[in-house]
Amino acid sequence: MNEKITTQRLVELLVEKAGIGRNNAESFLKTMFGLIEEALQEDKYVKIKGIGTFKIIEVESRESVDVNTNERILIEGHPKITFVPEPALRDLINKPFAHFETVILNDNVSFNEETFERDDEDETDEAIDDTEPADDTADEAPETVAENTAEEPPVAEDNNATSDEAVEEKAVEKEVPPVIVPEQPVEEVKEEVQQQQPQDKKEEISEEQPKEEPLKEESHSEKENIKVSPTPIKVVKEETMTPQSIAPSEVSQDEVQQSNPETVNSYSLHFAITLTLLLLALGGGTIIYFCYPQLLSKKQSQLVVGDSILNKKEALKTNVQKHTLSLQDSITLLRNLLADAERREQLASGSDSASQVSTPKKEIVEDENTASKTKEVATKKAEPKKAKKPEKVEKDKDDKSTEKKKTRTINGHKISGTLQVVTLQPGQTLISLSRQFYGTKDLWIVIAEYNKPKIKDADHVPIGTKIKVPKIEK
Amino acid sequence: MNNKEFVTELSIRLGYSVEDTTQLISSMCSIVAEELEEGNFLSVQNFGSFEVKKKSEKILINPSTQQRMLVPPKLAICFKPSTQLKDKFK
Repeated sequence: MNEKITTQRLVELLVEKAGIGRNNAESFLKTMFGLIEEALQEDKYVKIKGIGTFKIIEVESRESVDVNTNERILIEGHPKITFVPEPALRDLINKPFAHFETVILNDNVSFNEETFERDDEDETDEAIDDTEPADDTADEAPETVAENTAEEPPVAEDNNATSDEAVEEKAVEKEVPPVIVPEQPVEEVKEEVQQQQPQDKKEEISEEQPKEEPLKEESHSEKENIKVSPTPIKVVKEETMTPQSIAPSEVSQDEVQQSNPETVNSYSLHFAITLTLLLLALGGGTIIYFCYPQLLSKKQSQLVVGDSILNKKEALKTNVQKHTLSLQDSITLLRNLLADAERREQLASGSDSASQVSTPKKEIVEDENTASKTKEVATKKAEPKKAKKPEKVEKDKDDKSTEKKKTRTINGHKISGTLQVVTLQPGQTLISLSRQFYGTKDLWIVIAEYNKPKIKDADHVPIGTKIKVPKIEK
Repeated sequence: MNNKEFVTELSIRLGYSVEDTTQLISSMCSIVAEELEEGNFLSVQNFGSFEVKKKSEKILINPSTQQRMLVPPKLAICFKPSTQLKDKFK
């Protein structure tokens, strides 16, 4: 690299390559470049195959400024020798960067603006930190992220596991009666995680479930949608908790391992191992949840909540049948449910729906939630956590009790609830929304803050995002 | 002067056959290409130098459509004529 190849070295290389005498090579090079020079003088144009084209271009005279004296000077026209490499040679040289392509930039992409507006945002963040509601938005943002990450992998694995399961079942079918796993293949693998937890817990759950279910099932069905947002993660956890046919599934795993040497299942085994590792990590998280000291004392109520959520899940499934979605499309399903939940939540918060609560134990949790729902946007996504950690909810409640019924202020504007929910259309921006609803584009920042949990980057709000337009009091 | 004329003229001057000259030129070219590919600086006395330079990425605006385009970085061969060569053309 960066070695300087002189004429002498070039001669040596040519001698090696072409197998001619040194003198011949030297004279060849000399004549060749001499000829290029002469040809340029004659024709002003030489094309050599394998290298490219040399050309003489006449440069017109132009005016310039002397760098030293700042005087205007005239640069006279002169011939300029140019070289254009052949496409083959050009591409060969550019190989390291060949995978890059010219990108057409969109109008809204602007590097300068971006940095500017980010600064702007930071300022507003600080401004809001001074006012009250910012702390919970700040607190809960990471939680929602954690949830999202927590809820997505298992869903994805569901699909993977089904295929995995299929392979397993093939192996198992020969001797062992087929494992009955109703569309929750993750559990099979999760059994291992469960084994780390005390056995009695499982039994507890299994005993409780039948008791609680019939009582709650119907009374909950109406309320369920309001609390749908917490379901995804809980559902996953519920799956881990639900008593499964442990023995058969374990047998199936053993069976697979036994049958491995015979059949070429090593690939699926690898897959299963990585899957179990992933789930172990996930299970660790759940264990931490359960080992949380104060939670253990309230385990009963949690379990009840968990049960009710399981019921919800069932009821939701029936709901979803209306949506003509297959149950296996659990991802899209959950998204729809989330959207539903949001809508209802808004209704609920609008009409102070704390009275809708029906069941005793859930009521407690739910009441706390609805009470703190005056800032529903910020708190909404955190509900799952609160439901699981009642004591935390109480803390939150204490914090917020002082400002419970007050309106939220953003940038000095008082917000009293949501005016309207708008699904962002192509061409719409926060600024255009602001202009549409408030008549001025300056209030986009209020909308952005109000929807902060949803909008990651206020400069690039994806189309289709449901934007809550806050009601600003004058 | 195109390639054919160049080869013919060179073969006459050197006293080689056209085939030999073509072969010599092509091996010469492959040497140049190899060396440049490795990033070496190639200079020929009294003629000029060849060098590979990295051109950084840039944003272009198509004047007719006002479309802005991000042009990726690339490696390009630059030829710098020697002063002797320049002087001959003045």
